[in-house]
Amino acid sequence: MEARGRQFRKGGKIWLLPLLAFLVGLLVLAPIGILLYQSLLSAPFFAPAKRFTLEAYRYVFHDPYFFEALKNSLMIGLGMVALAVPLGSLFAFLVVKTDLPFARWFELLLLAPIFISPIILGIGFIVAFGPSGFVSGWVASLLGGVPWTIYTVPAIAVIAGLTHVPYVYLYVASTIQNVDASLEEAARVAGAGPFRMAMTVTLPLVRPALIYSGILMLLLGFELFGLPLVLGDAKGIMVVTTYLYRLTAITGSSAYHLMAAVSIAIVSIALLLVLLQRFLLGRTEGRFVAVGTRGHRLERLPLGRLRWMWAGVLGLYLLVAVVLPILGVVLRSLVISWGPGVDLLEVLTLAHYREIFTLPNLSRAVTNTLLVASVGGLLSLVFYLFVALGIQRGQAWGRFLDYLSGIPRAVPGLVMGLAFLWVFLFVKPLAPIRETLLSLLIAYTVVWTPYGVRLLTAALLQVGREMEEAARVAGASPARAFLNGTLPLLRGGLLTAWFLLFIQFVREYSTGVYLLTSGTEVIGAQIVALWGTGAVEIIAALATIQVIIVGLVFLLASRIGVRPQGL
Amino acid sequence: MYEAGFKPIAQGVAHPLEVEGLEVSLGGNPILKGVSLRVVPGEIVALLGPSGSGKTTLLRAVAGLIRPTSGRIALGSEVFFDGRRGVFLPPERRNLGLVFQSYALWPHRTVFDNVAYGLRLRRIPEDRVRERVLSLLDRLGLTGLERRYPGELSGGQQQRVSLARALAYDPNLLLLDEPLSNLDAKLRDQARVWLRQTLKATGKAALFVTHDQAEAMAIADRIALLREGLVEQVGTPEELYRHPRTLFVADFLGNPNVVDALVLEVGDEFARLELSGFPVRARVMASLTPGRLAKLVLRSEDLRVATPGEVNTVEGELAHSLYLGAQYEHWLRVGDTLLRFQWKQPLVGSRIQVAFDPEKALAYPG
Repeated sequence: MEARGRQFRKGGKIWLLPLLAFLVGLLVLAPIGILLYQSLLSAPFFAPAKRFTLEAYRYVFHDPYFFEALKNSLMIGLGMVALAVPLGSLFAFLVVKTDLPFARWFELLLLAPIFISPIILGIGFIVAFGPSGFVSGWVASLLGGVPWTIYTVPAIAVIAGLTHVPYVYLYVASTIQNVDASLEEAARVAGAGPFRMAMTVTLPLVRPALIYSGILMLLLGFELFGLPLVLGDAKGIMVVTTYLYRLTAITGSSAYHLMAAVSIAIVSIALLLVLLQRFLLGRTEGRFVAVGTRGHRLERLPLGRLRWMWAGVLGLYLLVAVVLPILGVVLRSLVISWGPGVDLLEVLTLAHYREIFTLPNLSRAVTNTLLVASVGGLLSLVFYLFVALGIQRGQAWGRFLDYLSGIPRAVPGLVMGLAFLWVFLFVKPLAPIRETLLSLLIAYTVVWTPYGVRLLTAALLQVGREMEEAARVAGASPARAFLNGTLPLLRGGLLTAWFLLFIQFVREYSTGVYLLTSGTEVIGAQIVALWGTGAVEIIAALATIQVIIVGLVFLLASRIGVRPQGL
Repeated sequence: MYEAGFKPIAQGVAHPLEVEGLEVSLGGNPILKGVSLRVVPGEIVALLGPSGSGKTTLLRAVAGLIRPTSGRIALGSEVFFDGRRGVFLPPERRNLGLVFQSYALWPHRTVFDNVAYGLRLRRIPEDRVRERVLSLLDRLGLTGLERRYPGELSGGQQQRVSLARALAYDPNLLLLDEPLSNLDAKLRDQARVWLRQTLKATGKAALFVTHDQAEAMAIADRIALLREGLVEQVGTPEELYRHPRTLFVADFLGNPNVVDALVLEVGDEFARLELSGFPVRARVMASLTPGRLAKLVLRSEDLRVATPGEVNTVEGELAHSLYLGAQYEHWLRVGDTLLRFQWKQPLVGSRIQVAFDPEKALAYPG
C-alpha cells in the first residue's frame, strides 16, 4: 500500500490531490457554511441592516411547534426502525437463504420502493387507502366502515416503515449473502434446527448490518419530507422538514435566519447519527464480517409447507406497499373525477397527460428531468470517479476526502437545495447559475456524493491494480496507464453507476424544491410545488411519467446485469 | 480406553456406520453413483480421491447437509437416510461431529462459547458444560485460550478448537473435511501424528476426507479410494499400496513410473514382458493378453542400480539427476520412456543398469 501510494504521488501530479480535496471541501462545506452564517444573523444575509445574534435559535427553541415537529420526526424514525428492520431482515433471510417460491421475482419487486419517490408512494397511499381511496371504498362497502386512518403520526410511521423496508432488505441481504455457509452448517450439525441456526448464527453475524440499517432508518426518518408533506398536511402534522418548508411558505424571506437555524438543527442531529453509525461499525468490524472463502456454496433452507405462507406474507407486503399505491396513482392520472358511485369507464381520460405536454413548465419538467438524469448523471459520475480515485490512492489526502465526501449524508436534500440557493444569491458571480439546470446539477451532485462515491469505490476495488502497473512499467505516464489499464476494465462498474445515478436523479424531489425557477423545473420538485394547489390529477400524471421512466430504465439496467445498491 | 476430556456424556453402545448404494446428484449431475462403505466403532477411515471424485459429497451426505437421491445411510439401528422409505433425518438430529475445512468457527463467539454451543443445545447444566469444555480444551492443548475469539488464534489453534467443538457433545461419529489442508506444510506433518493419536484416544469412529494420499496413509486405519463417484478400492493403506486392484489405485498412491510394456507370456502369478527391448518379469494384477501392450507400474523406491549378473534389469541413458538432500532422484531414458528412481549416491557414466524384484512390478492391461 505504502509503496503504491508513493508511486502515485511521485508519478502523478503533486497538486492534483490537494486541488481535489479543496474542490470537494468547497462544494460540501460552502452550503453548510452559509447556513451557519445565516443562522447567526438577525436578517437575511443580503439585507443592509443585520447583526450577529442568537435570536434565530432562541426563537426556534422556544417554538412549541418546532418541538412538536421534532417529536413527530423521532416517533416516525423509531417507528421505521421498529417496522422496517425486522421486516427487512426477515425478507432478506427468506429470499437469500430459503427455498421461498418466486424468490427471484421478490428480489426484483422488493427494490421498487427504493426507485420510486416517497412522495409518489405517499400520494398513492392517499389514493388507495385514504378516506376516499379506492381500497377504502371497497373495504367500506364490505365492512360498512374503514378500520384505519392514514392521517396520524403512527399511521405515517407505519407507512414510512413499510416503504423503507427495502433499504434494510438490500443491506441485510447483501451481508447475509456473504455469510460463509459452513458457519451455518456447523450449527446444524451441532444440533441446531433451522430457526435456532438463524437466531444464533446468521443474525448475530450480520449484527453490524442490522445496526447500520437501524440508524439509517432513524436518519431517513429525520430527513423524510415527501411522505409527511402529503400525509401530515390535512391534519396539520409537522415534522422537522415540513416545519422548515412551512416556514418558507408562511413567512417568506423575512424568516431566512429561522430557516437557517432549523436547517442547522436538522444537520446537527443527522450528523450525530452519521457519526454514531461510523463509530458503531468501526467497533464491530473483524468479529462479525464473515466473508467466507467458500460462501458461495449455498444449500437453501427448506421451509416445508410454510414456504407458501411466507410467499403470501411477502406478496401481501408488496401489494400494500407497492402495487396498490402505484396502481392508485396511475388510475388517478387517467380519470376526471374520483369517489364513490363513479363509474371508472365513463370518466377515463388522457386529458391530464395532454395538459402536461401543452403547459410549457410541465413539459419542461419532464425534459429537464431526463436531461439532468442522463447528462447530469454522467457529469456527476466523472466527479465521483475522481473522488473515488483520490480516496483509493491518496493516503492521508484520501482519508480526508473520504470524510469530506461522507458529510452530505447528514444534509437532507431539501436543506441542501436551500443552502445552494443562498450560495448562488450570496456569491454574486454565481447568480446567473441559479436559473439554469447547472444549479440543480451541482446540488444533486453534492447530495448524492456519498452514494456515488461508494458505487465507484466498489467498482474500483473490483479492478486490480496490476494492469495499470504493467502499463507504467512498460513506460506509460500515470494518466495514460489509467486510461489504458484500468478504465477499460472499469466500464461495467461505470455503466452500473450511471444507471443507478440516473434512477436516483429522476426520483429526486426534495433537492429541487428551493431551486425551482422558470426553466429549472423537474418532475419531483414540480410535484411538491403543485401539491399546495391541490392539482392531484396533474400530480398523478407526472408521478406516472416518473414511474414509467424509472421502470423502463430499471428493466433495461437489470437486463445488462446491474445490481442495485442501498443507501 | 478414554482419556480425560473424551469421556462420553452418557455411556452408549457404539454402532457401525453403514452406507449402501448411495447415489447423489447435484444440479442434475450425478456425483455419487452407488457408494457402499462401512465404518466400525473406533476405526478411522479416509475418503481419498482426486478432486471431483465425490469424497466431500459423501461426507456431507452422511452429515445430512446434502439430500441423496437414493440408497441408505444408517448408524446401527438409526436410519439417517433411506431412499426407498423416504426417510431423511436433518443434520441436527444425527448427533455427529463435523470439522470443516475452513474450521467454520463462529467469529462472534469466544473459544469457550464455540465449544459449548452443542452442549447448551442439549440442555446440559451450565456447571457441567464448563467442566467438560475446559477439560476438553485442556486435553487438546488449548488451556487458557477459552476467552479468546477465533480471529485471535493461529491456524493450528483454530483447527484444534474446531475439533473440540465437534467432540464436545459426544457425537456418535466424527466427520472431518480436509482437516489439515489449511495448515502450512511443516505444521501439517506434526498435526498428522497428533490427529491420529487424538482420534484414537476418543475411541470414536471417524470418517475424514483428504486429497493427500500421504495424509490418508498416515492417519487412517483404512482408506476408501473414490473415483468418479464410485469406490475404487477399500483397504488398509498397505493393502492399497502393495496390492492395488486397479491401475488407477496403483497410480494414485505414491508417484510411480507407469510405462508401456509388451506382454510376451502370461503365467499364474507372473508374466514376461518386454520393456523397450529388455525382457522383464512382473506380477499379473489383472488378465493380460500375450501380444498386447500392458501398463507396468514401477515404484521409484523399488528400482535400484543393478549389481553385476543381476536379472530383471533394464538399461538406459542417464537423462537428469536431481539432488534432493537425503538422496538423489535420477531420470533414466530407456528407449523412449523415462524411469525415475531414488538412489543414495550420485551416478557416473552415461549408461546405467537398474533392477527390480518381479513381485514389486505390477502389470495391468493397457
